[in-house]
Amino acid sequence: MKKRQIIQSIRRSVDKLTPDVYQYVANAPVQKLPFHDAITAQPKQDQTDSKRKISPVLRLAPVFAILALVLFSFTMWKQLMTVSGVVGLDVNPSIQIDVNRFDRVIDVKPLNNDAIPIIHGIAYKQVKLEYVVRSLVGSMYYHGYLQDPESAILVSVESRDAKKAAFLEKQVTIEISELVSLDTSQVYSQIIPIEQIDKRSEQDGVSFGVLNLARMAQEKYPEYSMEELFALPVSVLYEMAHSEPGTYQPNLDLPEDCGGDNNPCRITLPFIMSPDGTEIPHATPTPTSPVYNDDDDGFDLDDWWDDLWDDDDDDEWVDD
Amino acid sequence: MILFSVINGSPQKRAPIKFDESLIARIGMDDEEAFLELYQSINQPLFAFILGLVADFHEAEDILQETYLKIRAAAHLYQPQGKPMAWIFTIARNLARMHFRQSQRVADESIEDIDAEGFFSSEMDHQDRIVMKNLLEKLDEDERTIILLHAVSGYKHREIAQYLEKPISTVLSRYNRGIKKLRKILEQAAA
Repeated sequence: MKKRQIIQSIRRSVDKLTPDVYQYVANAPVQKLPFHDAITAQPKQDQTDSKRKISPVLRLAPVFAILALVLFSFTMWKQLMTVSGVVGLDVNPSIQIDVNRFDRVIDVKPLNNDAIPIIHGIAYKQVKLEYVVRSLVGSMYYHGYLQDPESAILVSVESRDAKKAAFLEKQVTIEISELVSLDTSQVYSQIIPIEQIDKRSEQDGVSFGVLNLARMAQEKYPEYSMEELFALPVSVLYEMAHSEPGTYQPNLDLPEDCGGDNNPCRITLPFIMSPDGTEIPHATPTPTSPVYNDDDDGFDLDDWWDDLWDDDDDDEWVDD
Repeated sequence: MILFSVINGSPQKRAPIKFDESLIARIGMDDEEAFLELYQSINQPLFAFILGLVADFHEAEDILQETYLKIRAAAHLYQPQGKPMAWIFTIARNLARMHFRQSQRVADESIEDIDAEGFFSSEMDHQDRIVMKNLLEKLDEDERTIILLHAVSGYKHREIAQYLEKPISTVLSRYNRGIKKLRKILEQAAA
């Protein structure tokens, strides 16, 4: 027997068996109750009933909650992935670091070929800027940069928020100064207004920081082309950009007999003269690439470490 | 054909019993028409509900009468809550419990004492008698009540769950278990 047949059988039975008690119950004398007794007491409307009455609103609540969560997640994701500030590091390798509003790194871009091995293997996604800067500077060290005490590094910061730009500049400059045994005067920094950022830096393969300095320098020294200025060490370019017009005449020609261990290729600079005729000290330019010995396979970190301790004090110690 | 199916009372699904809640207030003011209207609307499902509780035709008829009398006696006290049928079922259930206590019997014992044969109408189909007898004798109170209410009143399981104050999952499982049990019994009897 099928379920449907059982149900129909029950219906037929109840139809026939239900007694007709109307005459009796309609005409029997009834004394009205003054109040509900235990039999007639109405069931209290429980909480589930009241919930069901407002269920159309409550039913939509999870939907709204999910939508709010999605919106919140999207906003957070967008904030995490939106570039809020850009930090450029220029030694010879030029590196651009994009950071979000939480000072976490979104992207690290090499702006020239020298920068590619520097950033290789560094995990930077959503890592705090300070840690990424440390890693990059450490990598530069490892690859032979910033070891010369006369090296210079340019920190360029760009952000729509001036306060943030100032904060980033300070943070990165302090971080680098603590890491690198450079004189603080050799850590150059600048904040670049966002309207001066354009695509030219990408086209020319230079950082926006170098481009900015080159523009400033060319305004003062229009006889130099941008390409010539791009080729200058950052310290030279920085000083040109910030000097009084006409007081700075760098020699852009490399010595013909340069090369080898004893005579690395360096640009020689003329004296810098202030408007009143006195000499202005300037930083020695950084080599355009790490100085390698011809017979070396590459930079040796151990040799560098030994050299670091090989100073005059050792002689005095031996004498004692 | 349509007329035939209506007369036979075997449509696939019955519309759930609904009536205006204001009928109870009118009954409270001794409105006879309102009482008749209520009676016509609820008599069958109410009887099915009580029969499911007590599994005894005579006792079910007694409780049915007492339920109507209680409705007449307390209708003026009724506070509309949107579920008049729940109130009526509560009265019937309370009366059924009172009957159990008075006769000092428990529900399971009463099933064994069913004197159904005498109550069955001679017009009833033999198969219907077997179904009804097994329904009342072999199924427990919850299974009987749920199957009877669902079959006769047309209430959905959700509504039955509300009236019986049980979770809908319980109502669904008891309904399916009861139907399966009944099918098995009927198949064994037929074999």
